[in-house]
Amino acid sequence: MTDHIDLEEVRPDLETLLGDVLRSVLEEESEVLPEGVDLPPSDDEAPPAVALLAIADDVDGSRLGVRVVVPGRLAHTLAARMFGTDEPETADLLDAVGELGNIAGGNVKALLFGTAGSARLSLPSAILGAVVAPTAVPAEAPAPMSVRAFVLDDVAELTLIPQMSGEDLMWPPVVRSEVLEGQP
Amino acid sequence: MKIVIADDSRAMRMIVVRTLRQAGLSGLEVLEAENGREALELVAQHRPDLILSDWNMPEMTGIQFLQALRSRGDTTPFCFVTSEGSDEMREQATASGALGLIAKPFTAESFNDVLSTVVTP
Repeated sequence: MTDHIDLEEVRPDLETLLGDVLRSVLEEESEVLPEGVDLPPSDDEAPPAVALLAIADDVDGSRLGVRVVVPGRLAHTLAARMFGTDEPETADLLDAVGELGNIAGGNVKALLFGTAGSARLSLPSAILGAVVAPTAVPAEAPAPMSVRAFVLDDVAELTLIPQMSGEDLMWPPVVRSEVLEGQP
Repeated sequence: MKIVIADDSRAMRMIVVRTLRQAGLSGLEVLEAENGREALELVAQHRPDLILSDWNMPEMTGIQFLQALRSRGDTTPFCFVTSEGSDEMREQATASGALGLIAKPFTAESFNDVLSTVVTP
């Protein structure tokens, strides 16, 4: 899958997607931050919140990583608005950014795989702290591709990571109709 | 109106409730579950008027939850609220007895469009 999709070709769509997702959860408009444009260092001392998912291609078995990074201050605002509280707890921040990643991942899947059912989306994993590169990305894999959005004086980032392992992520149980027969 | 909302994200469960209120629904009694298995138990205990469920959840997915419900003869109106909505998923949802599928991000209008046959603001 990641061999035949040119991620650069879908950059404008991904930028729109990130803006749409942020608007849906923050109820704020964002601006695309073009490649190569750097902002002055942020005074935000809170650790960033990171959501990581993968999309598994059932056709060739490859996995595309989807990572969303939100600066600490923005993650706080995101959780505060989603939960309707001024002081969200750490679990709230993780839940909020995980759901942000989940919505982004679902829409990335629709964008890259169309509406056919040849791909599966993992459950989101979220952490607070340094943005670490996912493990087990083959050296020959295409480079990750990121888009950024400027919102509420911070920058949110969506990155696609071709040929990511995804083995350490959580996946929903596979639907097997025969196991449903004995449900209570 | 008694509603079961199944989603592994507490934030999303809260957003769904907020959106239902924005859609004009009042007097809601909301019961929350983190996965399909918990939701299945809630439905058996509380007999809700409507079920809104995520698709991708740990333990038991939304479609497994729906199929388990229908296999035991439960016809409670059921709608998916999920971050993805492929044609295959929509077809599977409808074939399994769901009203429809609302894809995230969603609006109060999209809730009204799908749920208008079972709820009245």
